[in-house]
Amino acid sequence: MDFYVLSYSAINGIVVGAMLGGIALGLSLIFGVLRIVNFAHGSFLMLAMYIAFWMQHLAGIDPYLSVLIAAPLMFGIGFFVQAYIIAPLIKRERALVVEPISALLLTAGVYIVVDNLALMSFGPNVRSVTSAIESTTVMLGEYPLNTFRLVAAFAALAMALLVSLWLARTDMGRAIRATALNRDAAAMSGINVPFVYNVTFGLGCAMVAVMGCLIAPFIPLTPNVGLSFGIKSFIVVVLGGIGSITGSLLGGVVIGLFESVAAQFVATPTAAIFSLGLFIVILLVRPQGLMGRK
Amino acid sequence: MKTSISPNVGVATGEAVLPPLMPAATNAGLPMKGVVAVLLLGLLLPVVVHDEFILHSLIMVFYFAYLASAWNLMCGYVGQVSFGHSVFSGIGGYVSVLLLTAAGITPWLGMLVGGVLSAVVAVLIGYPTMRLRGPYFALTTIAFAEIIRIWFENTDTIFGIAIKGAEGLSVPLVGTDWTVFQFESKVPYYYIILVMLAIIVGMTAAMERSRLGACLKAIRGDRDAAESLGINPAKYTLMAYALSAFMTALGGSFYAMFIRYINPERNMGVELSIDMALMSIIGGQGTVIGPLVGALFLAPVAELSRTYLGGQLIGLHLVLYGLVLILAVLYLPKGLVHPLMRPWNVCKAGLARTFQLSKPFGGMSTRENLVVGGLVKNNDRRRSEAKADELLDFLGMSALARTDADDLTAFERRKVELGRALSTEPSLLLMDEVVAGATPQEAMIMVGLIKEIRNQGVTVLIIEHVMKVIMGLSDRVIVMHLGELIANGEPSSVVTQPDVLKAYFGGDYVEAGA
Repeated sequence: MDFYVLSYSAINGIVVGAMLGGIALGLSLIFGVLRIVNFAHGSFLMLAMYIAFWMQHLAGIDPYLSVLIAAPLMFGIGFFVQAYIIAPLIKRERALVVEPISALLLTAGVYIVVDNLALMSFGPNVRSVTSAIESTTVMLGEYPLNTFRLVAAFAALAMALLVSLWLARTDMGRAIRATALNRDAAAMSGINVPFVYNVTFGLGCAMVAVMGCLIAPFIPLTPNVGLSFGIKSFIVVVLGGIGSITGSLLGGVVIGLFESVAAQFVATPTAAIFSLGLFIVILLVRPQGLMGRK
Repeated sequence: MKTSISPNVGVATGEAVLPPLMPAATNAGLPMKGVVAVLLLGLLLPVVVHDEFILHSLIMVFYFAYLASAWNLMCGYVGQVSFGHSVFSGIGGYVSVLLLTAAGITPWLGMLVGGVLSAVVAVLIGYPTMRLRGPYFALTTIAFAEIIRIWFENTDTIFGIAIKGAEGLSVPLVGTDWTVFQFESKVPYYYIILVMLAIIVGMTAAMERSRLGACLKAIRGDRDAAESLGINPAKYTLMAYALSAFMTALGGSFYAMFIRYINPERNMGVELSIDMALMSIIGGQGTVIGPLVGALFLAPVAELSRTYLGGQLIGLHLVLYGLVLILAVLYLPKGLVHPLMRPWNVCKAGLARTFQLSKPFGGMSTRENLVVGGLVKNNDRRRSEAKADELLDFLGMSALARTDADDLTAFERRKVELGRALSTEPSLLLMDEVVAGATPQEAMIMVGLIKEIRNQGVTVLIIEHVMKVIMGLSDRVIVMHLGELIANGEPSSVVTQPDVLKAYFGGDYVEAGA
């Protein structure tokens, strides 16, 4: 195998991986704070991509600008979903002992509803979103890189940094971290836990919305585009360690590298098999993930 | 534990007849009758229905009921949610199709081969992953199923046999008779899937009562406790997983033969897995008829929207599925069949109760109170009235037959309530605080009545503090103190136990050697 091809695929893998990490950030945050596997994560990504599509289609707004619309909108949707659909389950969990599997089934229900509402409203046609950015490749030394992917990767890094700072420095961030550590102790310290949950869920959705708008220019859009990204996000989160922001990015990069290099030896779609296999192995031998604590 | 005398310290439970602790079948009778009725009705349907379109829809509904039942064999009873069961239906389908096209082997044999192969795959997947809990197990099953699906989608030949990747295989028409599983009309397919459904429901019912079923339910209830009883969770979980995979593969083979086409997306995709899980969970997983009910409730929605909306509003039925799933998780966590065991059905199964604070129906006469109860077992009002008169006589209340229950004394109200409970012809009668607030004479009357009820063969379970009542009535006494069982046995041996005395009279009394 040619060194150039291999190193090029590695660089591409890192770029794509950072993007995957960015997509998984919201899932990791929600999992870390609420202890809920959000099966609908990919659906929220898909919704954001459609927001970008319609903004461009109807008002000619560039997908990069529609981040400013999609993020607050998806924050609201996430807030609503948590407050009215998931909160009743958590409330019940306090009284009885509910298997965490209920939350998975509940969000699976949200996934089925959202994906198929999108299918009903927008039809099964493949759509594409175009950005005003014209130079689609940037040269990194002798490697040509896709501009859109590069933007998505750097945005993921920036977003991770911002969210880390926000969690570390603001009162709301501290409340979220406290709730993640111990829900009951947080409540006894005067933190409005249900509100923190709503904000966290909203934030997780806003984060995935940002990524949705940024990947829209290079990922063909269909109503079921979310599921595969959702599943990949689970892999990233489990690999990186649940609730860890650094872990999410690192997990993304590992998966991206792994698949990209594997794709040099087998057909591209088959490469996904390796990351799924890695996911299973990680769950079996190091369930706390790369960056997670026991 | 410090003890003090208070009315709630000792609660003795008396029970009149020892041997039958519970009536044999509290929940099996009623729903199973429904299943048999549905299956019999299904048997006759093709005689009336000739429309191929409707028949096709019915076949699909039964097919989903079958798959949901197969899923339930493992997931419902072990309590682990699998979102990867479609892989077994895919393996079953591919094996039977390939054996038919490549080697001319009849699908009847092919589906069994596919089933065995699926069971082997299930054990290979299950062995390392079984110990993962809840969402982790569910996600792992998705990962395994996706690995196999993606592999199939990107593979053109396996051992030189063409499987044509994502494009899938169509099954050529090789004849129209039983041996090749191909027929001109849809009717034979209809009967095949109906029989398969009957088999899996029967199998689930048999498993419920078997050693395997008992062990699985114990593992689901508490893994550690099950292990402490000598149950090896790995062994039984794998057995259930293999069985479930085997049955799922038979369903997958049927589908491939019926549609005469198979591809990885439709036969192995995550969506199919979720459908199986969804129907089983919504109906009530871990029960015999839950998956059947779930599928009969949901699958027609898909078929109706496909038939009447055609290509429009694709996805509508899935939106409804999703909404039903959300509502079920929030409001019916045990599934649709759970309401079948609501109090009114418990009563029909032969269990009656009285309340500590009597609740006779006010505004109805004493006799009417008893007539209402009698209607549970007799649809005929007249027989119910005759029964009521008999009971009034037994209670010594004939003179009060026309009196409004609101105008009775407290003790008379209690007797009416007892009569009402008896009018449902229970085999087990639960009585809460039977003589609370009664005078000594009234208490003796009540004891006499209860003795007579017991002599007529009804098991009576009483919660009571008054020792005289308990000692006079019980064949077995169970003493609870602050939520803990402190004695259980014959009345004469229980009353001499130090713990019981201590609970009743306080530690000082016992130490004083009284």
